[in-house]
Amino acid sequence: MVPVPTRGHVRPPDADEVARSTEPLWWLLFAAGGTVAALVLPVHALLHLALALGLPGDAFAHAHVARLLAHPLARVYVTVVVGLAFLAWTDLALGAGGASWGQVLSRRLTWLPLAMAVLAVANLVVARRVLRMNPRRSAITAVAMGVLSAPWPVLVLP
Amino acid sequence: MNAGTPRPYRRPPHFAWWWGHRAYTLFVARELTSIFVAATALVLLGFAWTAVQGPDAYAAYVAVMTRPAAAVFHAVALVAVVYHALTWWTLAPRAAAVRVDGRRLSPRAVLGGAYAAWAAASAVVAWLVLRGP
Repeated sequence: MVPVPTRGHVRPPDADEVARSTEPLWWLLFAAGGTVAALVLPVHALLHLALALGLPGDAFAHAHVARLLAHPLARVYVTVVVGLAFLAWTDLALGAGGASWGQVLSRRLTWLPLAMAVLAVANLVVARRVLRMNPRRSAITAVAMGVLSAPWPVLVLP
Repeated sequence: MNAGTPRPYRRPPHFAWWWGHRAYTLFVARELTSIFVAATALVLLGFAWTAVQGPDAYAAYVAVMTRPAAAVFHAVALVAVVYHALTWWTLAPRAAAVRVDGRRLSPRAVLGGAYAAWAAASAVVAWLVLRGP
């Protein structure tokens, strides 16, 4: 028997449903991406505008730039900035009328084919201990989050 | 998914729902600057990628990036990314309830901290690049 929907009334999620929701993790990615993008992307745009206008002289010479990028931290930096700046798009998916994690996932996964084990394990811990999801959901979420953050290092670090 | 529980009907919004209300229009404009955020991130990726590959690949990258079209693109991208950042920091004190010593930090303090962090990060990146070889 199909229950009759009550007009104009939406049942609020109970505490257990909120606890099992994967949404906090997606919002976390959005927040991280937005913060990183707001922190450093303007100065990168400014520097590239300066390069296009021929201002910085030899600051963009290959020898200097290559030495900067030879530092492992610089490579991690590029990886994190590029990766998270893309993940900031998560909010567009979240904002689309309460999309399920499956919908969010299907919009993201075309980009990112490999799993990153460390983030997956970290997310497993967060999902199990902090958000108290059931094992199956936390496993799915952990794999999903790991996959999301994966191939950028492969692209940048030869 | 849940075949038994019917979802309440939601009338689909008009495609131009954001037009005609200043706040909505500014919000959608803000969301659209995400395109330039993504583009700037890709440019940064291209920069790092070609620079690591070697002088030849990097020279080709610089040749593209010094075209007039690149100057126009980066001028537009700079405005978009700064607008994106400004709206983000404006949101920060509302989203982050920072507590120090049991008391909530004032929105002004959170905003000040955010701008200070923004200035510091920008200064470090600019110094690293502009100090030259």
